[in-house]
Amino acid sequence: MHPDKSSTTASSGDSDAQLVERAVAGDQKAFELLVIKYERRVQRLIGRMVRDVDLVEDIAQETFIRAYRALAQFRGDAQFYTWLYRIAVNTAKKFLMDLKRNPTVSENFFKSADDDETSRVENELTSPETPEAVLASKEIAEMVNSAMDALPEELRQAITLREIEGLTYEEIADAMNCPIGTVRSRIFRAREAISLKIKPMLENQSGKRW
Amino acid sequence: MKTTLSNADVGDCISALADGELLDEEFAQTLAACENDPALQARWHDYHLIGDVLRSPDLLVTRSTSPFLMRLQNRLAQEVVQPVAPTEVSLPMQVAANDSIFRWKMVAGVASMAAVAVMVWMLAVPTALTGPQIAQSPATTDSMLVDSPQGLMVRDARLDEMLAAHKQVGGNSALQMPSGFLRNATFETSSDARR
Repeated sequence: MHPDKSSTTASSGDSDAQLVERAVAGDQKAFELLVIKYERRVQRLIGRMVRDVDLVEDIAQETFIRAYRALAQFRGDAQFYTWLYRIAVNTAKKFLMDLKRNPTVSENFFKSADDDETSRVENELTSPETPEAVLASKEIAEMVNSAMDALPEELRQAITLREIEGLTYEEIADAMNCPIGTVRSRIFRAREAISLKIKPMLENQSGKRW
Repeated sequence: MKTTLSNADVGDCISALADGELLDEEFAQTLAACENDPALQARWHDYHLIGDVLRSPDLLVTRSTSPFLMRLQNRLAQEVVQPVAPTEVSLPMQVAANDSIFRWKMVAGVASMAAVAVMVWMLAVPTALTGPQIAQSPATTDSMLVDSPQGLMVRDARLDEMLAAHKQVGGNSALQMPSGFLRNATFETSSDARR
C-alpha cells in the first residue's frame, strides 16, 4: 500500500543526534526516548534470528544496555540506527553461538565480555509473534490507514510528505505553499487524530500501558 | 520566551521533536517535560508507531513498550557511565529519494557555471577578445567536421582559439579533446557514410 521506507529520514537522524548528545552528557531520559523509538525495530530484527519470544526481549534489553555503555564511543559517522542495528545483530549472534555450546547459556551470555565474535552463526528465521499479536498488529495497521483516509486533505498531505516522502518542514512548506509553522501544526494534528483512533486498541492489546 | 510548555504546546513539540525540527530552548523544555510524564512518553511512542506503520505496514507491533522500558530503566540504574561533555554529534544526512536526480542537476549546474566562468575569464584576459568585440564580431561560420578517434567532430575556430589561449583549463591542445565540461558536437555517422 505504501512504499517500504524502513530507514530513517534526515530529520529523524537530526533528532537522534540531539538525543544521543544529551544521553552522552548523562541524560538517561534522552536515551530512553531512543529506546522507545527503536524498540519495535530492534525486537523485530532479533525476532528474525532467535526463536524464543522471551529471549527476543532479553536480547533486545542487552542490546540497549550495550548501546548505552558504548554511546560515548559512537562517532556519529553513521546513522544511529545503523550502529544500533549492528549491536543488535552481534548480540543475537553471540547468544546463538553460546546457545550451541551450552543450552543453559542465558546467564553466562549476559555476563560475558562485550567482544563481538564474527564467526558464522546459523540464522533461524522465526515467527515470534503469536497469532493474536499478529492479528492485533494488522488491526492497528488497518486503523492507522483508515484514520489517514479520514483526515482532512491538508493534514493527510502534510503527514504523508513527512512520514512517507521524508521531506523536511521547510520542503513541505514549499510544496504546500504555506508557512513552516502551519506545516508543523498540521503534522501534529494529523498525528493526534490518528493517535486517538489507535490508542484504545493499543491499550486493549497490552492492558494499562503507562 | 516562555519558560514552560503548556499542555497544548507540548504535544506539538513532541511531534516536532520526532521530526528533528526542535532546537535549543524548545528541545530542552520538551525533553524535560517528557522525563517524568508517562503520558508524553506514550505520545512519543505512538507518533513513531504511526510513522513506522505508514512506511512499512509489516512492521508488526510488539507488546507494550512500558514493561520493556521499566525493565531497562532498572538495569540502566545500575550502569555507571561517565558523562561526556556535550560535543556536536552530527549524523550524516540521509539520502533523499530524489537525491540522484538532484545530483545530476547539481553536476549540470556546476558544469554550466564552470563554462560560464571560463567564458567570463576569457573575456577578462586582455589578449582575448573583449566582450563588446565578441558581441560585435560576426558569428563565424568557419566550423568544419574533423575526423577524430571519438568520431566526427565539429570544430569551431573560435572555440579552438579559446582553448589554445587557455591550455591549462582545456587540459590539452586545441587539436585534441577539449576539457570534459566543454561539449563537443559530434556526429554519429553510419559506417557506410564514412567510407
